[in-house]
Amino acid sequence: MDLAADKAILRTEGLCKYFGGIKALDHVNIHVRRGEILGIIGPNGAGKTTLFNVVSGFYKPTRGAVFFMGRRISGLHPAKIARMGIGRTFQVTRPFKNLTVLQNVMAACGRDAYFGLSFFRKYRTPEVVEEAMSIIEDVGLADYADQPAKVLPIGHMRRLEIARALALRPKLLLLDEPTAGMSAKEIEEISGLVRRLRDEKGITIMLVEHNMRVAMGLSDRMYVLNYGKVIAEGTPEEIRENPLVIEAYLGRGYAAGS
Amino acid sequence: MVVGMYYITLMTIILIYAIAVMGLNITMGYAGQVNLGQAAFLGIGAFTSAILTTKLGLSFWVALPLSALSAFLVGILLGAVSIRLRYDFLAMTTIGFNFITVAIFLYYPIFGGSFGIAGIPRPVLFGLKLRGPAYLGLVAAVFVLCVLLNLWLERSWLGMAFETIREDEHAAQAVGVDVRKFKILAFAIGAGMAGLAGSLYAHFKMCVAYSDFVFARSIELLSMCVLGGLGTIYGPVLGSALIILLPEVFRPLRAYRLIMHTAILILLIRFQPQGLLGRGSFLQRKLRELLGGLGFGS
Repeated sequence: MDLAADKAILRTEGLCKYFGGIKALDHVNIHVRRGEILGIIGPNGAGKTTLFNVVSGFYKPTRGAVFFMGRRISGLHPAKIARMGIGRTFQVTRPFKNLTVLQNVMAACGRDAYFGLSFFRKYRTPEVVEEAMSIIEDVGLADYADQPAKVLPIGHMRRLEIARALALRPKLLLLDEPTAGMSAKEIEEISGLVRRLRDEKGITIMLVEHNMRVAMGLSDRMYVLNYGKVIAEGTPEEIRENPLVIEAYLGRGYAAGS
Repeated sequence: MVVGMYYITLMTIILIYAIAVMGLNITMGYAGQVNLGQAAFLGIGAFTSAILTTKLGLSFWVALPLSALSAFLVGILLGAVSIRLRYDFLAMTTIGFNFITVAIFLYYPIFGGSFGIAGIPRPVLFGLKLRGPAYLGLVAAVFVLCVLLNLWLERSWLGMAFETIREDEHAAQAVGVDVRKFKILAFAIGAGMAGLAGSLYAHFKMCVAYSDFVFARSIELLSMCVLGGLGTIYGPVLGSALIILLPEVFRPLRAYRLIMHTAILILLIRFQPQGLLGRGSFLQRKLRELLGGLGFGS
């Protein structure tokens, strides 16, 4: 293990996830440093979303472990992991469609109330509304606060998911393709938002991104997955030059020719 | 006087049903968990009260909360079983639960077999037997209590957790809602209310038998719940009143009750899945415009 891994907020050890004979994750060892924006890239089916699902507790790993701030979290229930400070968004957005934008975000403010027996308390207090509204303003959805989530265009739904994850007051935020299906202008705005979350709120960010330009532009460091294995790690510049990565994306012929 | 009694009886029945439907509405309307076996919980409450008062000689006032408790506990069981099930599988399981419960009522002698239990005493308050308007008053008091509970639920984190589960279980977990715990609670609270209604039903009819709690009764409760408006405060009482009053007003409809319930369900599911007066339904929008948003909806 390299020295940098000691400062890691999140670390995986020999992480495997098999679906029958398919090795979606195959002995994955990665770490996320506190305060960085970490990009995870790789061709379709490389295991990126599976990695997110294992880290956030939605899948149990077949083998290996995940450590968050020194604590083993693999095997814990996803709700518990969320409460410990790992927020996430989904590749296909999953807002609470019939609830308003404000209610969607407030739902995550209940992170502590849902545990134990304090769930009998009133949820709509001035403090909670204020907290939720300030997050909604941060992501630029203030005008939609009282709209039901189902009427939002896709770009706004992704912002809403980020807002909802932020209401958990996460230390680590997992963003699964935050710019998929967006216009160039929206991509620009979301990229700005992600950078601001790290710079101003100090939230560590782990991001799966298909858009190579966005991923390279945002990430401090990247991992490349292919067939469930980490095939490369480094800064965006290093990744761009890495022959293994070029091969994974473009095929052997290109790699040999470059 | 006879006509007066008729209306009092009708209103008593409507409110008893409304309590059971309110419970179903918590499980289905708020938490989104299909329950096609609510009549079983009604039966568990009714038989608990009947056995406690006729065989053990306990007072109604002790039996009433214990009926709610017994249904609540069985609700925890059904909830625990349902954790891994969704939609059609959950529907099948709850139907099966209804049939099993009815089979138990028939099989074990303590439930009185096919004749059931008769001679259930009327509740006594300050030396007075509660009947007619007085019993209606008691039922109304329990009903109001349940409405208050429902109102509190809507405003609490518990209600919020239920709604997140109804909307999207994965997203619910991502915001820290332990889906297992809250599904169990949704079934248990809904069952507990049905238990209360069951006890009131037993002491109103003064005799109970398995045939009062068969699957068809669950469908009746479901029709009421869906008709009134899922996930609303006023839905259960509105739905109960409509379904009970319609055959009273149009006598010839009586023989075709089951067809009517089925038709209502199919039409609603096709055209207004949130219920006649559910959130965002056509009628609710119109009413909102008319009333300027007074008192309707969340």
